[in-house]
Amino acid sequence: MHDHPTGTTGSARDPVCGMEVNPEVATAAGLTAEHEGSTYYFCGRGCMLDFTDEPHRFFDPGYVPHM
Amino acid sequence: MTQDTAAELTLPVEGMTCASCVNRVERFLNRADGVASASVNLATERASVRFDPARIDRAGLVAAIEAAGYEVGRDAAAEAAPGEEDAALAADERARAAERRELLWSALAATGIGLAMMAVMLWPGGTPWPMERVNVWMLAPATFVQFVLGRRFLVRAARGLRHGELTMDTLVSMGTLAAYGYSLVITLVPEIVMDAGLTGETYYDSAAVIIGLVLLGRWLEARAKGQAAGAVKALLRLRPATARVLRDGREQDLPVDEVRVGDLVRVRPGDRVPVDGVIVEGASAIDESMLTGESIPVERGPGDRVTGATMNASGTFVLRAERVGRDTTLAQIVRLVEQAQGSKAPIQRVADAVTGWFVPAVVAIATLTFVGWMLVGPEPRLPFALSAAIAVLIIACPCAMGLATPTAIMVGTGKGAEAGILVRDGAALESAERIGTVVLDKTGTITRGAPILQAVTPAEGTSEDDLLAVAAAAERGSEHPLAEAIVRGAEDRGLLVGSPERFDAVAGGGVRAVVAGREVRIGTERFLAAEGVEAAPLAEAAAAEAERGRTPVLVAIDGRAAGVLSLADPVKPESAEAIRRLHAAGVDVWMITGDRQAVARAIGAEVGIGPDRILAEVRPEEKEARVAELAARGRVAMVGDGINDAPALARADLGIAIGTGADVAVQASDVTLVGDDLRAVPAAIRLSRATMRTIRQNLGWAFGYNVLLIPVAAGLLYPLTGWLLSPALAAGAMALSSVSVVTNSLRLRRFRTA
Repeated sequence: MHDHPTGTTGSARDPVCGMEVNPEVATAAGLTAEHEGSTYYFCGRGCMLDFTDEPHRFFDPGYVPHM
Repeated sequence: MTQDTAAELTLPVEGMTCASCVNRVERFLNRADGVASASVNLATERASVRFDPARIDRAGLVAAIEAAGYEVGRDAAAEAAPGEEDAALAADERARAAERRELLWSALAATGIGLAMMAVMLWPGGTPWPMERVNVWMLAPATFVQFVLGRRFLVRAARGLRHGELTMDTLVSMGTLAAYGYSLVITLVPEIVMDAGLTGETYYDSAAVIIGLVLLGRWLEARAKGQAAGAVKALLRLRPATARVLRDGREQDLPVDEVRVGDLVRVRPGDRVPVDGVIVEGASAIDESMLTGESIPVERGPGDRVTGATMNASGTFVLRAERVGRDTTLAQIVRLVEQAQGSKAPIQRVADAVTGWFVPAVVAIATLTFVGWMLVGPEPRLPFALSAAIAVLIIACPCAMGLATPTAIMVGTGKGAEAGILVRDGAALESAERIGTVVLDKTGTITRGAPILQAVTPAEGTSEDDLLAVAAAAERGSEHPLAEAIVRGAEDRGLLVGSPERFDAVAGGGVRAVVAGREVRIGTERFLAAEGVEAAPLAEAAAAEAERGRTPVLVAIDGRAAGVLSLADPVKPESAEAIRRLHAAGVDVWMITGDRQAVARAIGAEVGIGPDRILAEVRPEEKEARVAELAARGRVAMVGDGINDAPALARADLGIAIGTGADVAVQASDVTLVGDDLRAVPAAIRLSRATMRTIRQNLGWAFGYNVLLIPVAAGLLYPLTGWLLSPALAAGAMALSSVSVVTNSLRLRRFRTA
């Protein structure tokens, strides 16, 4: 579940919902968050806000991405 | 909280972009103390909340939404300001409506004044007052009609004369001016005619009635003239006002004109795609029917092109703008429609063509008449010469000619309207008559335009009913037209259709569902293979259905191939009969479609269009060019219903929009068929032939009357019989020819469209 963020090409995975996200799109829309030196990309504001509220929850090995 | 203390409130939420936002706002609202339930709609950007007003108020709800990271907006659905084009078109439209109103009022006033004067002149037992006095009374109203209401004829005739052109306006002006001028002289110096032993009769009434009737003809024409601007307006209305642009780390609604090439634009369910572009994230089913005429939404995912003004049916996606502003497909279609409409020959009335030689001939004859009477006529020469020359001009005045075309067109189009055939103008009727080739769009024109379930082929060990019932239950959750067709097909067979326990539409062509504990997969062969189902046993049946022009849908139950459902857009029941009638009328019938060759041929065989008359796999933008190719060889009518047909409809000599067609197709066309019965096409062609025949008869009558009576008016018969047509008799003859023309037009009412 620990998909590491990729560069701004290709695709990244939204750590909250598990959706494929185009990093360029997320960057343009401001749907990114920094956490411990890495950039994470989100499909939408809901996921991003959930992530910034409690990022640790989404790194739990037991966490299953869902909406 | 009890039910009776519940309150409900709807709040506008700003800043939501996706389903996760919806979840988050709902979660925060539901967590707030006093909220019974909250549901949030992404498309409308509204949160509907039921709450206990004793424990939470509006401010509390707003606070909960703000805690979630969103804002509550002011509830003013900002109305998009109309674009410049719209404003210009509206002004144009208003100007034309005002012009039409002015024409009508002028026509009614002139005719009314003319008839009133005529009534006085024709008073039973003669006018109770001396003619000289009546003439003075009539001077003011006659002058008003001649120079105010009839001003347009004089202005145009003068303008034409400066360019050496003689037109209908010249004839109307000369005839009425001659009648008015003669009457004016009599009014001012009655002794001239009195001394010659003639009565003091004037022709003010004739002049006014002529002006009134010709104005009425012009009004009928203007009213019938197409609303070309309307087509463009309907197209522009498809363009969304704003686009949700992702720029500089912000998501903002911008006017669509401000979208630049390379911008990332988010498109949500229910939105129209604002510009042309390529999907970079997300996937959706897109309804491109306004572009292609195909009613089945197509799946589009990353890398696929989408077209501005098409409708996003289901998912959210982000596109990168490729063509914006004047370069979008929609803008190009707008230009095509404009050009095609502008390139059309202006209404070439038969009467106008003849006027070219008729007018100078009449003028020459009138001059000859005057000179002849002056040289060899009996005394008093001047009044005789003047009266004869004016009689020539009046008898030649094209009142009946002015009515010949508009009355026939009015009755013909009225008759058509009763049968659901709306003809845009006289030019359309004229071209419908000479149509030698008819091109029929397939989808929605020959066929119904929506798929139905055609056949069920179960695999071994599966019953037909079980296969269909399970598939229908699985598809119950989907709004895809193919899914609706399957559900309806099952219900039509009296099967009990349940609901899926789980339903998942997979982008790219498939459905995963659980029905009564059974795993169901529905989709293409490729989809089933990807789901790990051995689809080979169904391949043959699927291929056979595809060969027959149908769309096969494969079904697997619990991992086993269960059967093939085949769907197709059925031919309308009247289509074959309509095409037979067209053939009987000597018309060459073609089919044009973007669909596969196999589908087109199967339908062609069903309705009687041979493979050599089928244009299949034609892309939307090519349709116009293909129609133009056919039009180069003869006069072509195009029949279609979609926006994609609009340029082809406008390009064809005659565009016929059928049935449930898009607004813009209707506007771009010359003839609109209200129903979706294709038999109206042969009926429209027959009606146009009947109407044009009537117009020709009318013109024959009108000209015939004039041409026969001109020698009489000129006094050619005077030496032999002593006959001389007074200007009053000339006016009477003219009225009679008008009556015969109108009567002939009314005979069209007996035309049968069925």
